[in-house]
Amino acid sequence: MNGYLLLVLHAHLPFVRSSGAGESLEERWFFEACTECYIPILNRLEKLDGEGVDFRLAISLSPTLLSMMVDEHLKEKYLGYLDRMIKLGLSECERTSGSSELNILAQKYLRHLEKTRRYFTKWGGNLPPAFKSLSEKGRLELLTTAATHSFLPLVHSKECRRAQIEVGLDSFESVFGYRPAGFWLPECAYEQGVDVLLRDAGVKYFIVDTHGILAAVPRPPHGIYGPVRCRSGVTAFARDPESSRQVWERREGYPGHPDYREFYRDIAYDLNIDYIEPFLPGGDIRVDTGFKYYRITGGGEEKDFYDPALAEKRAAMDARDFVARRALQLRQASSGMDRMPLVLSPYDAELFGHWWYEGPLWLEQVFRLAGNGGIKTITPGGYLSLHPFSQVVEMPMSSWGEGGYGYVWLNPKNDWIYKHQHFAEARMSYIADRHGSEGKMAQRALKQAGRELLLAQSSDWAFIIKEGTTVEYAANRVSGHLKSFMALADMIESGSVDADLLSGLERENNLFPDLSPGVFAPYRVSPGIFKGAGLKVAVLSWEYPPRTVGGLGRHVFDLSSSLSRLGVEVHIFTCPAQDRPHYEVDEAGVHIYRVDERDLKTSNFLEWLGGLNEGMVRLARERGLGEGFFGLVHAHDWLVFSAAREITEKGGIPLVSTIHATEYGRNRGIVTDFQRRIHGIESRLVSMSRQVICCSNYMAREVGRLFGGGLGGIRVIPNGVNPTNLVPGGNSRPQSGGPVIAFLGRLVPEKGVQVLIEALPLIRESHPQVELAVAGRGPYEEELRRLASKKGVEDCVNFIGFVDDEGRNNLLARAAVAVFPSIYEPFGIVALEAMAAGTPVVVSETGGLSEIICHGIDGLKVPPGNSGLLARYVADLLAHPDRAVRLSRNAHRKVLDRYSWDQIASETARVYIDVTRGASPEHLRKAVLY
Amino acid sequence: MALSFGCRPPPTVLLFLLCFAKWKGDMTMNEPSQSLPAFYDDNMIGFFPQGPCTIFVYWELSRELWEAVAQMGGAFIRLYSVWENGNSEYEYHLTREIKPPPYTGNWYFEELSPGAMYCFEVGGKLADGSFFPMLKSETVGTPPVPRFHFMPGQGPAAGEPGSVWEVPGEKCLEEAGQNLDLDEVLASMPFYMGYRKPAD
Repeated sequence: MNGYLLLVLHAHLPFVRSSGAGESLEERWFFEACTECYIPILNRLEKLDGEGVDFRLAISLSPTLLSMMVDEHLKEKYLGYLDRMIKLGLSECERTSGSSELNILAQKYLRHLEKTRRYFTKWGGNLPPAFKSLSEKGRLELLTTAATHSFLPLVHSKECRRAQIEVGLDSFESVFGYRPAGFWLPECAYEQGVDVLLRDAGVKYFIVDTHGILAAVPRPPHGIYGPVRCRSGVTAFARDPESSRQVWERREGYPGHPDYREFYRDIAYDLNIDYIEPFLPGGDIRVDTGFKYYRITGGGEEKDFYDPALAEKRAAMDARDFVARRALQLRQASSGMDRMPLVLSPYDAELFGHWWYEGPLWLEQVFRLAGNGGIKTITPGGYLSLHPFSQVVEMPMSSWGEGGYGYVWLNPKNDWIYKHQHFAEARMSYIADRHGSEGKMAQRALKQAGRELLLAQSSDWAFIIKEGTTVEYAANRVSGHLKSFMALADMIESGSVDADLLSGLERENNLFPDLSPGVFAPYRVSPGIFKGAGLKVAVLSWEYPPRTVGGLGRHVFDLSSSLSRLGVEVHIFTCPAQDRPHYEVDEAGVHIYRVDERDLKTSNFLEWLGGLNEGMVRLARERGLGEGFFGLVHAHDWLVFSAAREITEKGGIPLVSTIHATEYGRNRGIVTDFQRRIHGIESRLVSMSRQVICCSNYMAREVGRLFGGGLGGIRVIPNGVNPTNLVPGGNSRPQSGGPVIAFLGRLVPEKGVQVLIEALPLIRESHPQVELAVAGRGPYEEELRRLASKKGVEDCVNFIGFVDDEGRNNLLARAAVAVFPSIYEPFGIVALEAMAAGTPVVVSETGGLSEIICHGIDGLKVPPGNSGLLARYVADLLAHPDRAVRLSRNAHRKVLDRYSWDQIASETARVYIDVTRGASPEHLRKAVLY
Repeated sequence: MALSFGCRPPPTVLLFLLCFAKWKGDMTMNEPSQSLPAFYDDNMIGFFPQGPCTIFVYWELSRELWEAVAQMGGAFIRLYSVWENGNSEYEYHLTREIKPPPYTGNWYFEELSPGAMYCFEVGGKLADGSFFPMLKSETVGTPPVPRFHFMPGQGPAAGEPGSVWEVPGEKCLEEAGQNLDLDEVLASMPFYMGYRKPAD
């Protein structure tokens, strides 16, 4: 055997259903596709199956196409269309009775139409079961695509990308009863991050264009002759350009051969309008009938009559040629491979039968001849069952559009779409979240708003506009759907829904009947998958409330509480705390085990740490470590490394580690022996972790650079905040005097308070009454006091020391702006707290802080150490309270949308599930190194 | 073998629409945005790569930011190339500064480098000539240009990473033993500031 041939057909039409009684022009697309493509292809495949020919084929059916296939109104209309075409066929047979060449063809087309009608009614007017039947026999693997075939890299919001994917998969599932393993990316358009959404939706593989894999890093050893694996775990297959060219290329490809039927010579354009009019959808608008009597012949206007026998011979020859070339290609590729090579050949399904009339016959012949060429046809899912692991790579953006990227969908003709589309996306996420629990009318309106937005996002419209054919139609589809969306959103937010308008839109655009508006919401807690999963997690944290040092203890507390509410059983092993029992279960159901303080009586730090870790192991053993009690271990930072290693090894359970900060980052380098030791421990912790979690992309880059990514890579899950904890207390009335600038955090150089003090003189120039309130303690305080004195601002800097939660809330409530000018900041949870409190923030553009804020949208960012620009921004906010209000409003919304602990716990628990159910370390090592 | 992108006929939609060439409708490119709001009175920015060498950006400033920028003499737009330094931080290097015509709300930056990172700012100029950014985009990357000549069995070239986790940087340092006093650690390590020694 030379190798595998993966043929993939992608069937898609935009949603063009009309609720009116008569046939619309756009619906004709659907009817023609059924008549000339889908049913002929099904017929050929069923014939092959009936004869026992061993073949495999993957077919992607888009959700919009499926929606039309199952629509009762369209089924009736299609039967009406077939009846009209049969009438035309009878008429043609009579008209052409004087010409044997034409009459043979007229009879052929009539027979085809009658056969098509019989086939359609045999299946009850329902084509999906025909596909399903072949799938159940193992001949077909069915895939689907995004809900309305949107070009995902140009869908701005993650929530709306997810909605496109999940609604698409849900739609498929509602028709076929299961979710497909494969996903056809619309236009094969990939961008990093899309694979993560696919993974979350349960997709196992997708398809990209050739250069998507060829530009991957590191270089995939098999090129396009084998798939690759994203870090997310989803596999990608790439299109083979050679086999594509042979079929797709206009001039040199198979469909252009002179023996094949000429697409453009249809009787609709040749005959008198009076004759043809009864069979046209729009009266006098000439559109294809499918009655075509000429072959391509050559490049000129003169065409010979079409000869079906000649065309069939040609199709057989082209199929032999295709198979022979694939066999040669596979033989050449296999010499450099340690597994059988594959060639993936994806095509638009509608090419076969519509554009290329003989296409279905050619396809049948390819399947018949493949074995002769030493080729086994297989589906992507079938291939993955044989070879589940591939090299892990990072792929760049790519698509199969002209130019290979985004040009077709983003150019001066259609770029106007995206500001409006993205505005609507953000609004949809907002209303889905805020109005998701309201009454029935609001729910209906939300659902329809979701439909309108999805329909506006279809890649077809931007494509049509770029091609300049029926620009007004496509542009009106975009603007029409967006206008409908805006109207519905206004109604939802005002609380007054126009029932007539809503009903009209529901009638017209009725796809995705089970659409849940929550799919657009900013976060979705995976419903119930953790409850009943019996997941018991041993969490190791050197600090835990009430004993907290930095943010780590609070993080573990909030995360654990939320995990517990999700249904994960959390057992915390931590340090002693005065007046707290050695074991307790808190209000959230979290089990807390504190090492006995009598075991930690040493003044040597490392001995103290060693004792803490030994104590954790002892407690875990007492709890049931040896009896398989725990499903996994979650370690926070290097301080619990020894316990993590021992519990992992003794329990035979996987380890997840969160790296909150690194020694290298804290010190901007490794200088002392002690720092080296910690650095070494961090490295070992990462390398033995099944999955590493970092709170920001910045931290992920740092950890990846310093230590690599561990066995399963690095997952970025941000820190969270509980907005209800940020409600100001009773003493929150604004104090008399000038505006207050708030800083909260440890007084250490890395927090950058010195930059803020240096900015104060400039701020005071425009706001003489300004006060800087510095809340926190640390060894740098004296230095900061000296600096304030040196700058002549000591009278307006108030070092208020440590503040508890109530003090923090009061300070943020009375502050006009909160400033966090950190030099090093893995995340910056205190900035989140300020945002949640509704205080406008100005932060350093560094580390994780930089990722939280969009400058000018929900906060302001300043290059680290730039006291001049910091002063200008703060002064500007103080001078323009309306700007400050806009920023803080957006910031507050962002915190609620993205940084809730429920969302973060859900993502963390997802990591737990992936780790406990995923590949073994051996498999992971093999996948990474392969 | 050189690749030729887009070597396929137009997709289904266009095939069907070719048959409607005489269909009623405006055949000229008229943006129907008359029916969509021209202005949302919000601060918005969208920054997307079109291809390896081109990035598209649109922006909108709220009415009062527009007024502020107008008072500064009009908007300037800036494109920065973004580099990651040895501390995993991003550094920004000004690549282009343009004063677009009034009421411009989008721009194509062309002739960029493939496989590079960029970000965008729009703002005004202060009296001292310094740039005051009002809006800043996220950092985006242009896709790299792919390799065209590649057969299986060819391993990574010299200098190419052999694994997705091999990135340039420092290797893990050797452990070193250290006898440290707890108080000394707490006093010298900022990370532990605020921690109280466990009570005896």
